[in-house]
Amino acid sequence: MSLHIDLFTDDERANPSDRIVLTMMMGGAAIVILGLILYVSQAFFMLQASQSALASARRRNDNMKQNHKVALALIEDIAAGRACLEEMKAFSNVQIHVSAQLYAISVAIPPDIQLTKLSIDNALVAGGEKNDLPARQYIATITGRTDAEGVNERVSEVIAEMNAADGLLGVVTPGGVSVDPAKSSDRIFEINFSFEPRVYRFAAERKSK
Amino acid sequence: MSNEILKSSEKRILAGVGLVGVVVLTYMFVAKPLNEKRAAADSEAADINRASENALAKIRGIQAMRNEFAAVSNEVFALTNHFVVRQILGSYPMEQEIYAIAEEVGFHVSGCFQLGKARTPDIPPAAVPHGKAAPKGKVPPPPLHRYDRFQMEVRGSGSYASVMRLIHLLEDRNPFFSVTTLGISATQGKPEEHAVSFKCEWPVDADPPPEAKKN
Repeated sequence: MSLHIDLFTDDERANPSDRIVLTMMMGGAAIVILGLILYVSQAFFMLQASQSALASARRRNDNMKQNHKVALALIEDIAAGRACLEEMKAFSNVQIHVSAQLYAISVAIPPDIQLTKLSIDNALVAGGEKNDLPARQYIATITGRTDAEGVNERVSEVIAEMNAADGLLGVVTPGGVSVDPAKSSDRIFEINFSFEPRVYRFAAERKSK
Repeated sequence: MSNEILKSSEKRILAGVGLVGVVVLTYMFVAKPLNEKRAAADSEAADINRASENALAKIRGIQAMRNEFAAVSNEVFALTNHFVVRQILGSYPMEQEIYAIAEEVGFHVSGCFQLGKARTPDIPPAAVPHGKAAPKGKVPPPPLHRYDRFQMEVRGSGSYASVMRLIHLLEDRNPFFSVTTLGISATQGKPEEHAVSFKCEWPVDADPPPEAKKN
């Protein structure tokens, strides 16, 4: 009769399913550790590559710095030059050619009308599309003397002639007729000119500063 | 064997927890900082590359900009050198020019009065003649002032034609010269002679700003 003695405890008894679980766990752990090593290595090498690319970008940037400075200086100089030209435009933008206006008036006035006074004045006003820019507005008045007979028609003719002067004299309107205090058979008339406000500098020019 | 502190299954659980710990710690203290450094390097490299591309575009245009600068400079030089009037021995030569041209055209100048420099206005007046208020809101920054308007009043007498010719010649010689006000009145008993007074202006160099003056 053979004697069977079991020297293993329950825990120690080899269980085939335990071995499989253990093997799987060890395999799983090895995969995780391998994956981790790969991941860290990849991160490391990618960092190396990024740092190398950064160093290369810096070198490239440094190499073009001198030429970039030249280009920036040129841009600045061109802008300064343009600003000078724009500033000079502020003179011509508000300008009226008084000699041409005097000529147009002399052409429009017939010889039998005597001018006694001519005045041109200007005022600082708001102008531009949005009415938010400084502008100069010219206003002019001429006063003359002529015979009482047909004075209104003659003044109207003069005004029509002046209005035909290609806008050189702005909008010409009658200013009134009165009896000449020095000679009751004569009449004193007044004609007004109004001009559109002329903007010193336009908004786009100002924005570009 | 039953005296062992940990059983085999507990060891496995502990090993599993240890492994997870190693993974988490490795990620937190090794992989994550590496990734962060890489992201920062990539971002910086992208910024530098963008700046380089921008710079390169400008560098490629250097020749064209040189040509443009030459053209603008020539234009500025032509305008400012000829038409921005500079003082000679403390006075502007325009005054002499006015006298000379007046003599040439037969206009008698009784006086030239220097009114001084005026700045080109930067902002509109608060109210316009029609009663509309100037719009509120952001006022654009004042533009640079390199040139001021030197103003002078001229009084004298002459015929209508002589005044016209005097002003025409002054306007012709300097396209930036401008008559801003003019008054012509008939003189009693002298139909050919009128009392004339006009204010005119032309560009001059602006005074340097106070900070520049200190230097």
